[in-house]
Amino acid sequence: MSAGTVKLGRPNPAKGGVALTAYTALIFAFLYLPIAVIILFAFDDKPVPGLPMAGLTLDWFGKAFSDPDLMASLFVSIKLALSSAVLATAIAMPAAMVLAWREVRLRTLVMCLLLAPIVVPQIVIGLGLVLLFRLVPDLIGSPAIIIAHTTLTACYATMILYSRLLGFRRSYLEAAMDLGASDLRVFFEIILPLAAPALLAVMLLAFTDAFGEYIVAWFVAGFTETLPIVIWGSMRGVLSPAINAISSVIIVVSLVLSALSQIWIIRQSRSSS
Amino acid sequence: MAGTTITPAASYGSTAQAASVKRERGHIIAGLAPVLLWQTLFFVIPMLILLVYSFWTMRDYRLDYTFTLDNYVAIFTNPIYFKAFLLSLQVALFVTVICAVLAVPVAYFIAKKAGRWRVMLLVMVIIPFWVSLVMRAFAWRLLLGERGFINRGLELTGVIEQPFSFLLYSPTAIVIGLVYAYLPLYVLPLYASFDKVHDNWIAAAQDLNATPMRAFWEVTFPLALPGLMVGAVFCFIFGLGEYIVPALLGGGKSLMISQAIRLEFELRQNWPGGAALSIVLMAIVMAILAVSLRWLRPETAR
Amino acid sequence: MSTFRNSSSRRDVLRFAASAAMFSAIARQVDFTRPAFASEDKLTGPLNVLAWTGYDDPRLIEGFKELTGIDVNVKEAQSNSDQLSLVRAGTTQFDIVNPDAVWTTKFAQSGLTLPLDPADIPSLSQMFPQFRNNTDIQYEGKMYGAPTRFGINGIVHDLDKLSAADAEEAHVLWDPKLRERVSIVDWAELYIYMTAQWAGNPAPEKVTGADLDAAINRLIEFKPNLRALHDDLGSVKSDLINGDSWAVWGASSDNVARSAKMAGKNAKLTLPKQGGAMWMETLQIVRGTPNLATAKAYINYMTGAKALAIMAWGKEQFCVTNAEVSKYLTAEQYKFLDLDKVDEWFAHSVVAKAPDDEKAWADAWLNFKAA
Repeated sequence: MSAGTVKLGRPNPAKGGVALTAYTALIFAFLYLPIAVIILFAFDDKPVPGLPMAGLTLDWFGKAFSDPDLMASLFVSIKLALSSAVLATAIAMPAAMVLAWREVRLRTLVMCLLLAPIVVPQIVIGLGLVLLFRLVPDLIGSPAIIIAHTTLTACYATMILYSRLLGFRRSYLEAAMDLGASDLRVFFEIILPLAAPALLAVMLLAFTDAFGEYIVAWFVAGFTETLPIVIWGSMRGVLSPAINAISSVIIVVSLVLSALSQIWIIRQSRSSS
Repeated sequence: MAGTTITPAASYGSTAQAASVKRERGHIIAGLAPVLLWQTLFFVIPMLILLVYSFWTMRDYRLDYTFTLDNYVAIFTNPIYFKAFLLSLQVALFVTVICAVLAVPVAYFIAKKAGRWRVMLLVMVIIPFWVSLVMRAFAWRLLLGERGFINRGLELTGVIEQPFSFLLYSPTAIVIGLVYAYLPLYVLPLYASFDKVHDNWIAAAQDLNATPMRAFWEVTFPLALPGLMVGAVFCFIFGLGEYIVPALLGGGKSLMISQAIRLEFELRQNWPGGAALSIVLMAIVMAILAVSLRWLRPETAR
Repeated sequence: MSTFRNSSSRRDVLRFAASAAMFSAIARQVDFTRPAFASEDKLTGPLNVLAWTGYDDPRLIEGFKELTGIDVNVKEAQSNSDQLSLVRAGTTQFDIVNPDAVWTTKFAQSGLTLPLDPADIPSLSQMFPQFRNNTDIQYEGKMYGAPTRFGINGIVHDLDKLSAADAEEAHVLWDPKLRERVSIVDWAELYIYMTAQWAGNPAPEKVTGADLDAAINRLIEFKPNLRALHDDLGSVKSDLINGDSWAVWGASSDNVARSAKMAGKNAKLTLPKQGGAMWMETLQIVRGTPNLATAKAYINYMTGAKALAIMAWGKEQFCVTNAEVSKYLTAEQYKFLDLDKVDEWFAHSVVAKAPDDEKAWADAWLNFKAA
């Protein structure tokens, strides 16, 4: 902080704030641009999505919801992705805690090992796993998909939690333990609540990844069909707008749910103040 | 004495110290065991299987079980693989930097300026990802194509006369697609880091006559570095191995290492060759990772 | 592999009768005139099928179940190589696999398929005559594949941008006016074959060495005109339909043209005067199948006119090899499918063959992609 800088003491914070808000809005627009396109063409009265639009229709939604395979695969995907997200977070959390708070002698090696699955192309993981499952072929199908996705997502789940837990006040934990609290109690009453947002974020990310992954899933799925496998399958023809319809519903439902939870959060903070 | 870092050379004279050493070690093992066991079972072992494959060859579509290093020699003597790897490296680095630059302000905004809307904004960052990447890539085609939204919009408003054909099936398209795919990977850890920066520290800096920009650079940003590094590491690794976005938006005009590996396994049915390529790729990336992870020193606030 | 024993002793006849009786007690509507079921092997199931899109049409699965009482599990694959990889991995025991004819050698050499006995598949007698004795589905003199769907490759073009007259000259694809206007699909054997064919090679599948280099160089010369090289047909079709490309080379051209026309595009399939190249899809039996008799029955059913008519006009439209599908399709459908052009196609073009030197072609394609 050199005394030679000729800058005003307290510049107007509002100016910077507007620019930042505008920029953030721009980035969100970027994130949702393809989404808007997908939703738009769910209403297009043409078998092949593309400009110019032919007219508005709700037919594709009807087609999507009356297609038993599509609906079934959607629920399968949700179920399997949820399972692997929870499992991945469950095994990632203890590891992240240890890596963040303890002196681990081979830390770099462990982290490299944890990140390795993401480096390897998915087709290699898929083939490797399907070869492994020759020992237990009965696992092929839903269990294998959960296993594969957990393996892939646990990697970055650990790393994200690790980076979040780095800054924790160890003194809290130490104080609690000095006062004689058992490890478990410290965990459930101090660590878990503080880490909850990070845990949620990681589970969300893992769910998302598992929900959309199809390359590895195809190899180990046997005859089970998940939504992305079905979508990939329809690529040989042209991507039917019925898929647009389903994707639109997924997005709208998620947006509504998150809006609802946000309103709930605001209400909570209002009632507590 | 509990909680101080245990140095290996410490003498374990007192039983209290000995007990806490044991406790520490127990914690470390218990914590790492689940994930390490899991990865060993479902990643290391399949990779070992493929490692064994990489020392065999495929002759006339059947495996020849004689041990040989031919596959590895082929990788290092064929310039195509080197070119493909270099290209992937360049793209991954480029995307990593761009994503970092784009993500920092957004994460900062959500962490510091969004107040009660934080959770919703965070979730909104994730939601596009519940739609299959394939679908989103197809949507980008409709946006970037010659008769797509962007070109038509530019033509209608008279900005251009001829549509831009470089927007799709080009390196530009790949970069746009990858940046789009990896932005949340940055936003989340960056948010987590910014979240830990206390407002009163920033206020203190400003009280000392620092501009908001300066307060940001000298106080906030350094503390956000761990999040940035985590995002960068992920972005880089994912970018190297990414297959879908280059395949759908790149137009197949250049060969990246992920596509080269897939080609080995698919068209050439050369599992040994493909396995060897994957192992080499993994080794190189692990080496880069090991070096860069040393920068990720834990900064525990006390 | 034969299903009839040469000796017809009394014991055999009795056993045969017992099997037939047992079978009729299990199955409901079985047509005893169908020779495929007259074997003494019992039909077991369920049948695991790994196939391209279209084989999981519920009508086909129900039809087979009605006929034999066996369930069919269909797993969809998006490429020949995915099929080969999964069957080679062997974790799930498939009974039926569905490679293109040019992949017959790859599967057979890998030891993953079984030869077929035409006697087991009487439906094959209903095939268009030009498909019988096709060498592509043979390996070492034995038939391995039963053809189901086929098509032809040429140039599918937007009539507004490229006239049919222009497209009759194959080398228009190299013309600078088509710069970044042609989409193709990732199909090594096809494009090397067609390039060699158009360069005047009488036996393109034998091309190797200097001739192969020449073909690859010619392909690399084509690259500036490449709008995109895709993994899947859907992308190629949408390129043409959305106007990103003016022409599609190869890529199951007839299927692309049909989809484009159905989407309202003014598109046409033109076969250049230098010739087109046909493609063929087959059903093959996987080695190690525990349901051999069912597999044969399935192939016979699927190559029959009724099943192939469903495949011809299901979610997508394809040409099929059974000439008698005309009984089950309307005249317009038959014409739209170009099934009336089969003779014309065969007069003009050949069925693309698998290369003699597979490794060299695979290496060459790698060079093309990296160029």
